[in-house]
Amino acid sequence: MNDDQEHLARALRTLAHREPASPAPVSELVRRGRRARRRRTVAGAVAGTGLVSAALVVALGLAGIGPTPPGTPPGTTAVAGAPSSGASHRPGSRSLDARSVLLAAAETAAREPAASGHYWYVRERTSAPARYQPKRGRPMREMPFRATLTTTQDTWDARDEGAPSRTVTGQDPKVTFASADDEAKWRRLGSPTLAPGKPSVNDHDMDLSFLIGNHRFPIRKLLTLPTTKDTLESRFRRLYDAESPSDWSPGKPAFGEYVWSAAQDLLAGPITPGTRSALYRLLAEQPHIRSLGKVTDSLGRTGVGLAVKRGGTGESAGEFRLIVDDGTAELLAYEFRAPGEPEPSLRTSYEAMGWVGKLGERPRD
Amino acid sequence: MSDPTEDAAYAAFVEAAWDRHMAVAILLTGDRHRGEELLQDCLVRLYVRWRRAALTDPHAYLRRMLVNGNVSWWRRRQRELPTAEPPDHADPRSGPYEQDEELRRALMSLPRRQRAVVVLRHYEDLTEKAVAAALGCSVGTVKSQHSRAMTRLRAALRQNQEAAR
Repeated sequence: MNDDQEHLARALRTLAHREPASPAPVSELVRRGRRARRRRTVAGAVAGTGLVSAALVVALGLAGIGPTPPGTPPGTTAVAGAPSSGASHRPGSRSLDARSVLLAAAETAAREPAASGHYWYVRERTSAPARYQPKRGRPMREMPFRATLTTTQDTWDARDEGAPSRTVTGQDPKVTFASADDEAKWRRLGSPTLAPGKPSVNDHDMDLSFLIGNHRFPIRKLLTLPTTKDTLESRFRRLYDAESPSDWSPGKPAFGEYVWSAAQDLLAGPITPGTRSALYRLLAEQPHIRSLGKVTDSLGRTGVGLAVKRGGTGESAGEFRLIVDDGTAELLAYEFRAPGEPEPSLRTSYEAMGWVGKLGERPRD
Repeated sequence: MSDPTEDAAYAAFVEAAWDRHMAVAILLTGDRHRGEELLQDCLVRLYVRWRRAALTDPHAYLRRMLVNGNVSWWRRRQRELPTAEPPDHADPRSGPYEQDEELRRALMSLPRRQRAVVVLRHYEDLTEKAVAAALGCSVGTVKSQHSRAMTRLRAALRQNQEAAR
């Protein structure tokens, strides 16, 4: 499907419009809206301030939509041991089986000093199949050439509620063709643009949450996750038990897969050293994680590859791989390989991450 | 909001937004009637918050309500209506659109957030950052959810095709 995205877009349009649209019931909506507004006003008057409004926001299922971005907050700057390009690695007499690697990472993470700031900063380099949408003509069943687009993104996730977050996407774009033949096919199509023309700076006036399963965790909540393996496991179990089977297909994953999936996000997020250590210990108990030994990420850095592979042609089939710096316990990269495809269809290498004091600031090396 | 000017602005917005967001709601819920119910719920809530939402981008605001509301709305409905599962088969009025139906079934087999990522990326043609804003998650999460969604979608479509043989 990755090679047929225009076809997918057209199919979705057909699906969405296969029945004639009914007219908008404007008067009815205004009438219901007035009634709802009256109920809300009464509830607010009874409860005073705060709590009822908060409950209404939750009922809407919305993340907070913040006010106009406030001024730059003062803040502390600290680096949470962000991995750097060319990080050195101790040659190992150390065992590289998954459990040993994860337990060693847990020990290392526990020794990291706690850090804080107003923004969690991440710089990542991501490679994914280049997307080509013909402007006219019939939809293509397959991409006429194979190419990869690699770009860099900076993210500043605000810790404080209501503070703006920022992403800068599409930096340093690079297109790589799978072969000279693929590049020739691209040229024959008129060398269509595959990369963004310039970086895009995006300010978000709402919380950018991390996910554990389908549970949303803004940074403030992430920082309160337990710091021992047993309590973290209990927390994950409660979250797991609260997951609705209907939100998963073909069904809820096993608990171990649930933890692994969450770890992909959390290890690149602002969790405390204690939580990071506990998470590694919890992962160490999951039998389905295997070690690939020393591997290299897309930036040429060496770490230990940890993988979970789901076989067959099922909906979750493929290999999800994390590359961890066994010297610093930092996550270097995340990769996904679809079944039967030797090359990753998604590669994200984390160049830097850590707390900073304000938007636009980067961690000190 | 009883200000006639604001009511008129809201009404104009609903007129302009209805078709576009109805399509998204249908794709998110997999069903025309549920989609319309979800959209109406969200538009009523938008009325309540109209003054504030209008300051920014009401389309983006409504999109966020649809996407995030779909999960909580669906859970609430499930409690209220135990039989309110996604239909296994298309509405008979849908007639001969077998390929559409395959896609609909495949789409409905995705977890709701992954489905939302697919709909917003490929129907709305939003950027990853806009999808992240709609879902209230990081762009990195959108990337991984999208990758998983497309893998699942491809597998589901393949299974549908094999079953049809």
